[in-house]
Amino acid sequence: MRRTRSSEPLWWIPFAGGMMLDALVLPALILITGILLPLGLVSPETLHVLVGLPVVRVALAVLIALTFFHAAHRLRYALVELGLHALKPVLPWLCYGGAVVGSAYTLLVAFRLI
Amino acid sequence: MTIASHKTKRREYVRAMPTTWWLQRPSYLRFMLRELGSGVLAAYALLLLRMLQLAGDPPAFTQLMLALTRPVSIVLHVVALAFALLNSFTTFQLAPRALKLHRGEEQIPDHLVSGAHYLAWVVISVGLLALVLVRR
Repeated sequence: MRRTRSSEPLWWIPFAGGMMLDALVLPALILITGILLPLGLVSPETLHVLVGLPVVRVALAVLIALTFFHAAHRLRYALVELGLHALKPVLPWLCYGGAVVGSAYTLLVAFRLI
Repeated sequence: MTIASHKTKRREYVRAMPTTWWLQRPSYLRFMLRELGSGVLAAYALLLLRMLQLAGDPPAFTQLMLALTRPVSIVLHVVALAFALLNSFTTFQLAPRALKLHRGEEQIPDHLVSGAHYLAWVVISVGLLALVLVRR
């Protein structure tokens, strides 16, 4: 039996990491930027100071990048299951490629290189 | 014989399914919402990326913060929050399947593994809120 080598395990690690990190922090972050800020319970100045701190920038960059991989891995399969069979060969390239490019861009932004 | 044998390239068998199969059962719908919701979470990540980008430009950052107080932004955030919670609950429910922990010979029960994840979630969320909430 001939087996086709799969890149699946490579993508599964950042996917699973992103799924777990999103599960742990995204509800609180969305609550902060989407509801507590408009209600005046969080000040814009606090957020501005925080996103200027190197440790916060690195943490957010990791979160953003892993969120991209989380979405890439799920959408790759979900879009086929929604009937986009014609796109099946290119979806891994589109999804993972997008996540790789998006993550690289995010890191450059986080380190203020662009 | 006129069998189209000149086309020998194998084609994958695709079972005919209505495009709306995922509307047929609540469990299918929940599955599809979780999968597509990851796209919504990625869209929210773009807002975080924008905040990183504008940190060095105070007037632009203030504009972004002002935009977040608009009703359309609040509605979008409520939608994103629903998808984020769906991801949180499904992830913590699934955690015991991925994580088989043993103490000696005995396996730590699933509800404890799930429970530990929920506890970590609450602690992290409270920590994040405490970090940013206005103190009066």
